[in-house]
Amino acid sequence: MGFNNPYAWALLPLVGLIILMYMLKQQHEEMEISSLYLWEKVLAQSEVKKPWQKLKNNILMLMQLLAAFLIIMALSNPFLTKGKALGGNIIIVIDRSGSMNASYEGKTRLDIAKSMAEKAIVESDNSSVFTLISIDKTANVEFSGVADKQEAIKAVESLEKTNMSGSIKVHLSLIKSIYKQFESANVLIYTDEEVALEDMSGEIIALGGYGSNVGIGHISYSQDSGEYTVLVRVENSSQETEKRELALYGEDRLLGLKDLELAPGESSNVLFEGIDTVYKYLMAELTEEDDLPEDNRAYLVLESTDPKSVLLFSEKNIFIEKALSSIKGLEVYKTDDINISAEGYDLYIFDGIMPTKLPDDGSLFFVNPREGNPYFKSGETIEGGRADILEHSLNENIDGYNFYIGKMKALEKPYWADALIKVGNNTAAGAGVYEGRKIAYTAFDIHDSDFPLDASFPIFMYNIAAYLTDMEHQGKSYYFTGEIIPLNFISGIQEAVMEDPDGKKTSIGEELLDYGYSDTNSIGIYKLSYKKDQDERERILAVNFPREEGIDAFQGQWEGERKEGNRRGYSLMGLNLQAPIIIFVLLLLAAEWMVYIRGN
Amino acid sequence: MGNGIFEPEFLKRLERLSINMEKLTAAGSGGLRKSRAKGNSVEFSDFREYAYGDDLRRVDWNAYGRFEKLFVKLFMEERETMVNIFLDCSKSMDFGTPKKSVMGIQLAAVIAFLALNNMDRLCINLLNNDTVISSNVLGGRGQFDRCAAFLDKIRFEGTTNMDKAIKMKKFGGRGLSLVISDFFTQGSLEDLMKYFMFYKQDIVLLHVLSPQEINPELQGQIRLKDSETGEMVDVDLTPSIYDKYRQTLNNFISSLKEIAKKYGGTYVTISSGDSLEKVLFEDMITTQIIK
Repeated sequence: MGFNNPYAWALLPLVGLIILMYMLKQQHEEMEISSLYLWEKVLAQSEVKKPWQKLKNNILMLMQLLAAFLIIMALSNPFLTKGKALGGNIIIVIDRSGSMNASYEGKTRLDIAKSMAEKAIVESDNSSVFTLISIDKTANVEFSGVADKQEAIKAVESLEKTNMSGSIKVHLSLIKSIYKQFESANVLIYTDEEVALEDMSGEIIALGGYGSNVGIGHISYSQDSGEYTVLVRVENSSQETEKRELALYGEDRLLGLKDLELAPGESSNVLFEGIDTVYKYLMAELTEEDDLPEDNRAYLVLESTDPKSVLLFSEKNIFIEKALSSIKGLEVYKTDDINISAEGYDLYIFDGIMPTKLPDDGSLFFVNPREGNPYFKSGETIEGGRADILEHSLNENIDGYNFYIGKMKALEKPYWADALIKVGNNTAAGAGVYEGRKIAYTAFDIHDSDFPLDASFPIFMYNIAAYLTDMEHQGKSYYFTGEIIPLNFISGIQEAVMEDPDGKKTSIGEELLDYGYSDTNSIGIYKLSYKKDQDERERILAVNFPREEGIDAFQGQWEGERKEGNRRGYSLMGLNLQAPIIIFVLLLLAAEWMVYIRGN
Repeated sequence: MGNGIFEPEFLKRLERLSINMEKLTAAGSGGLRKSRAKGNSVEFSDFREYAYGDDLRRVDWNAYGRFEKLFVKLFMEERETMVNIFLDCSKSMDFGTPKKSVMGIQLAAVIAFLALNNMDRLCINLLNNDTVISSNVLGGRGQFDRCAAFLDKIRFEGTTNMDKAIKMKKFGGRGLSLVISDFFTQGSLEDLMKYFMFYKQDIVLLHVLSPQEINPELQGQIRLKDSETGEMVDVDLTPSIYDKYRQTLNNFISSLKEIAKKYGGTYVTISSGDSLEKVLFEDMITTQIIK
């Protein structure tokens, strides 16, 4: 039994007031009479039994005392405790990160958390107001201030599992700020992560524990003479030695099988050599089911793009050549013969020299263009100064950098080009599209600057080369669930559609390309179909289960925490006794009135 | 006695009264009480034919002249009666406005006066606790002063077990016993009456109650204290309790009446609030205790 308002008991001394009043009233006027002879007979008639009569004399007082006691009790809002559920403002936090998919006897931790939360809602006081927060990669406030239990239960039921990594600790500040919105509240945190309530009141329901689990922590490949070597790291997070079979598939084809035996906590690197390069992606799989099946598979996308070719016209510029040759996917050719009639390259770079005939195809990049260049109005040579790299999509990762230029040409910026680097008011570099051709330029000789010594130089070169050759970002060979897959590797695409491993298709608007694709909860291969330059193209992407969720899921058991804190506005669940007590008090007062009337 | 009950005018009225003794006791020396026995008093009673052995001096010679038969004149024999007054001297008698004790003493004095006036022998017995304190046996009008002096010394205190106390008294023979009490007493009244009967006593119970006892005027919650025992009782004086009290009082009076009747005695309820004259000339004459 508990009390929602125990402060009411401070009124208890008032009961003494009734006794005091009776004591004052009860002072019988003493009167000496000749003899009690007759009176005793009279009283003997009206008294059946003396003890009862004594009680009867005080029955009004006893009834009033009882009534006063019960009124105070009613004010204290008592209840019969039934379980441990709460009332008032209840903030339910359910961890649904990947580790919550670990199962005991067919039920996942998330299922258990949901059913416990539903039970808490059902058993809570009717005045309860619920807030539900689910934690995965982010903290999601599913609803707030809901008083309808059915609605709250439905929302809890509709929480779906995720494969994302997530931590309550990271989002504890959000939970705290929601907690502090209320004058008083209780937090119920259902998680398998070891966290503390800190200064909040409520309960942490610990759902962690040991289990049998072996997961794939990492997968990567290396290319060597037309063959791939694939590395798979398998980790045992059980408390016992586990035997597993590891399979490697090339798309749908089984490429290799290996047996493993891992001691508790042991991890093992498994190599698959001589893998053919024809596959778009590979999948490693542990064939036996365990307590956390999500980390039993891992996918890997293999690079598949054709290299772009670049022809560099230069006499001596080693900086540009080196910068370009380090870029994966570019094949760089160099010449100083201005008379060759080149064609078939994706990009032509003219470093201070000018061919007799400009090529008809590919993009153009002029470094320090000479007079007579058809695209620029050549100016006189002027003093340089501090060159600032401007904010532009082509200056990704290097905007704000600066370097010094000794001398440069006072080139007038063509109308079709955007300025990329400026020295004072003069444009030192620019890029744009002229008559359907991508053209970029710098108005200074690389040698007349300290640009090559700056960290921004290779990135600038990469950005320019990628822009001019339409080279796409290869991206990572796999992402983790919950991670945003960047889509800005391609420009000028239309009608992009992402198909996730479950076959669900999502069309991606142009405005979302910069943001990337975030609905990466499913593990497996995603297919992005898009149109570019009227061509239908396709990219595949792999999403794997986050390693730490598998490792952390079986760290063992730990004690939950329970803090009752301030009980104001907080009612433990149970049978509220206030109304029955008030009814009883009313009946008691009626009975007392009858006793009083009969006594007279 | 400062009660003023023996003022000359009152006494004059008393002189005309006497105790109504229907049953005169056979034993005892001659007094002024008329007995049923025929004897040699001056008061004529009847004639009867002469029988052998009769005193010739009592032959009515005039009757012999008329009827030529010897008739003997019969005279009332006037005998003295032993009158015992038992006065309850418990503390409870000392209560009431006016006090029951005053009424008790006055009644005792009046009866003593009447007895002495009638040349009866008188003994006043004071009942206190379990004992009886008796005066000397008095006789003759001149003894009233002694009687008054005896009554003057009475102290009302303690309790009385009337049954036990009266049984301490040894009766010489027939007589009249008057008990003046509120009868709030311990002991069995029935036993007492049997005791009186055994000694061939005519019994008169004079039940003295104060007006407050007849009609209590208390109100509210009262702690009643017994004057004799000091015992206390808390009473919530509600109308229903009053009804019960009156009923109890009536039962008490009628039970006393019945006992008295059963043993051939006479019972009178006397309120100490009434005047002595009213008690004497109304209550006691009505019940023919005095005439």
